[in-house]
Amino acid sequence: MTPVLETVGLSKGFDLRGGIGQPARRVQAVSGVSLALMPGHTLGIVGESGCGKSTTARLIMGLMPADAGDLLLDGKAVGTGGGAMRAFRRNVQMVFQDSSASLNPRLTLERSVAFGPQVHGLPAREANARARDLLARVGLDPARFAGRYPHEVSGGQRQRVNIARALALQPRVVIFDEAVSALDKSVEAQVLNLLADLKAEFSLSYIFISHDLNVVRHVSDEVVVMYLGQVIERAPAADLYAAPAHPYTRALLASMPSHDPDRRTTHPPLTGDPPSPIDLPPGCRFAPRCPLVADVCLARAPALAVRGRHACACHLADAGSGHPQAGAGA
Amino acid sequence: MTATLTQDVPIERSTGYWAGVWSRLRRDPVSLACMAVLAVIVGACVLAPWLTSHDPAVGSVILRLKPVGTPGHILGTDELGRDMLTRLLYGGRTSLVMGAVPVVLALLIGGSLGMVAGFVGGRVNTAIMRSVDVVFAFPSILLAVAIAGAMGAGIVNALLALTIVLIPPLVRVTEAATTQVRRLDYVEAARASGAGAFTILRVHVVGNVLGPVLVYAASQLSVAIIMAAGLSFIGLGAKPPTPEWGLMLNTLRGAIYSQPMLAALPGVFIFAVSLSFNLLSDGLRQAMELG
Amino acid sequence: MTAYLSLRDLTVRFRTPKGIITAIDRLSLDLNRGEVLGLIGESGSGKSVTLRALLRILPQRRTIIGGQMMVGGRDALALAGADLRAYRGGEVSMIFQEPATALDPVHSIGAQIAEAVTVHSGCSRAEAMARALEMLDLVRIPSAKARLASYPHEMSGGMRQRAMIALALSTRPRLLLADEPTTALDATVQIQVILLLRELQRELGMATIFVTHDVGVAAEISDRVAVMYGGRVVETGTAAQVLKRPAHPYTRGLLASTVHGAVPGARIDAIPGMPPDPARLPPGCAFAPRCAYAAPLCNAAVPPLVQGADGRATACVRIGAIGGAA
Repeated sequence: MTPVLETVGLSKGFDLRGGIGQPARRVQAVSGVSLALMPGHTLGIVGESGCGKSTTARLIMGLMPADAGDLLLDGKAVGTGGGAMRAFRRNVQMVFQDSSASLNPRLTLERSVAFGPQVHGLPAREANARARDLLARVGLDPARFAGRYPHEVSGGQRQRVNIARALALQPRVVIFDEAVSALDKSVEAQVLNLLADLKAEFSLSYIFISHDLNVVRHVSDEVVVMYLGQVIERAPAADLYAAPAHPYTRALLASMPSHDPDRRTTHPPLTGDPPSPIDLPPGCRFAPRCPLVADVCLARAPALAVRGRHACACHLADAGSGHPQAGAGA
Repeated sequence: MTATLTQDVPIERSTGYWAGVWSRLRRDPVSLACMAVLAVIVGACVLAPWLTSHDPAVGSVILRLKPVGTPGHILGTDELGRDMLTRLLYGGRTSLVMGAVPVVLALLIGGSLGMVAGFVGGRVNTAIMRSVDVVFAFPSILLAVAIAGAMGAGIVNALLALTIVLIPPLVRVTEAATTQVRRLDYVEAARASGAGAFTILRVHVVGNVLGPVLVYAASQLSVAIIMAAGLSFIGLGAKPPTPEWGLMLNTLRGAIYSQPMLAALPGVFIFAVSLSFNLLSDGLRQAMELG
Repeated sequence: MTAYLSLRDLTVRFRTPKGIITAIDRLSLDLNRGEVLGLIGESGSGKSVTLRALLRILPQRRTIIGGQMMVGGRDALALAGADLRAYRGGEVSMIFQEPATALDPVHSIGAQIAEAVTVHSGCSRAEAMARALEMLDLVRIPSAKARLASYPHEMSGGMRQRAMIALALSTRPRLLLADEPTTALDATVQIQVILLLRELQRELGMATIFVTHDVGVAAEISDRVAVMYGGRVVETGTAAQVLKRPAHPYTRGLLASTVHGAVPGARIDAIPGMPPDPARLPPGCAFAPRCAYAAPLCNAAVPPLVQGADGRATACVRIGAIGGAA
């Protein structure tokens, strides 16, 4: 089965201007990221600050040009010309994190949702009708909400509008970039239910980016873990959470707060902060913090070792890597 | 079945952004007072022909420098025997136009330049902003005097000089506001919808940049009125016998010791209008803060 | 033993252009020395306002405070002038959510901590700096001596949060208030900070109120838990009691709707509706419009917080009908 959306070797770096006596430095935000989204599935992307997940989303949406890599829709390469991008954007849309600036404060909710279709040529009246219809589908009564402004509604309602806006172009893929992170937990639950309903109703495929491991586990079919711009593990959701292979994934999952007051966490799984992708070391990028680091880890970057549907970029998972503990219960 | 909301936002009439700004502005006592003052003065100037029967250009040698309160001439007469009230009202027309037109022109020209610079960024931004910086380097009033002086006296030349002087700060303010707005999520979302640059500018940027720019333009009005009066005062703006407040301040200089109240009257009007615009711009800024 | 902190019928109202809003309504709480209280609530529940009221940093002109607030045996609401300044930051200290904005960007970390120490204890600059170094070591910032001269923007998010904790603890407060200090942090950093706080709290014996909207975080750090809704406390008890055997319908709904316990892919048991607008609270129980067990009795009056047999308290008139704790 062909993936509905696929990226191959996506890379993006930013140059930091040097000053007098300071050389220019490069922030390698995304390095060789390859993802595949199957039709009707949800692909979850997790990672911490600096891992490049938001940059990856923006690269896919074409909001910034990639340095290298290919983007495929239904197995066919997406061109970079203006016309090709417009066609692509009718198929792939994005929902941003709720912020005070996710909606234009000067436009009514209806107009915000109708903007996209109008840009693609739909006459105003039909665009507005579609907007009202979508507002109803996301649980906002158009009679009450179409004429309102963003500052008059709550965060959860604004996110529903953001979702309606993304759906207005009738896309096949929707990318959610921390879309529920800023919401209250009870509202988050409602919105997640809504997303599940919409996915079934409109036959959508989702890419769900979040730092919240619980939410990603709940919504995803496959999960990708990113660290410092690279994909370090990829597996079906149940497998990843049950048997994480990469030491970073294990540490990340172990960092989730225990919900049981009688069984609390006693030691932090990982010390220090997530580093930023400037001046990256050769070899494995996680090596400086890895509890199982060996010489080979510092010398050579691990390739993505694939075992069935579970892929892991770690010398431990690769029997022939030269790591003293490789292959043993990885 | 999608989740519907049980406790809801009550149905109130939703006000547009500018309607909200107006209602908040209306409720601020200082802004209300300024608007009243401006309404009276500007209204009176506009309605000058109907409010006075005198001719602003016709004087009388006998009736020179009559004090305030003289029957038939409520605000007295000037040094050539012309009725002060008439001169002030007709003069107001000239002064207000000389103050407002440069601001409007600078807003259109400077605003467009600023938006382009802010939105496009990169080299275009550098080219525009650094050129503007060159003009900005000159002290504004001296630059206005120099330009008006080089082009010769006259209202049109003064308008041109003032416009040139007012453009740089407006470019700066617009560019700063546009750069900020350009980064916001809703602009990214518009780009993600496939909208072109012009559409994004028209629908998303202009409306959101207009707020701070208008506030700045309102404060510039207060400055422009004074500069226009200043140019006329030193002989580079309106030429006699055209009535104009700054020019009147100059010609009434001689009467400062004999009729101080007369000599001060044009200045009082300049002060009132300028201060009102200034305070109004402050009130406008506060009214624009949402929520 | 009398409680170190005792709130009785604390009411906080704000004057706004739209009228008077009640942010906290007759809140009563006790906290013992060395105890950690987890305060759980969503937007508009009043949890952050409670902390700010305790620290006495609510805007004076707009705020109307009623009720009683006894901290360490003193009436904290009556403090003024020098006593108030010694209280804020001295007796009581607060850690904020966003370390980047809570720390002054133009002063080094060492200078900020030293300043706090000097203001509250009047010791010399050198002594204050030594104390600052001690604090940075306490919060386990690596290379503490060099870090004394670092500025906030030179540090990572996790380190900034540790620096803020060092700042808050430098005056040896007896009451520590934490306003969602880990919400903005990455998962691996969050657990480190939670463990650090737990350890420091135990070592220094501080009474602590930890505000969070994350049930998991509350479970990790709290001895006791209080759940707030619509400006009122709806349930209190030990952490195990409230989080494992919730009694109040809101607490139950909240715990049932967390993604943590849900079956992946299945519908989450979400609470319908939205958190209430503090300006428009319903006449009776604030949760009634969203409650599955609501009855006409619930709208008659605000349910009082009733003490139960095992040290728990619940504000629900239908508790008997629901069948008590789950």
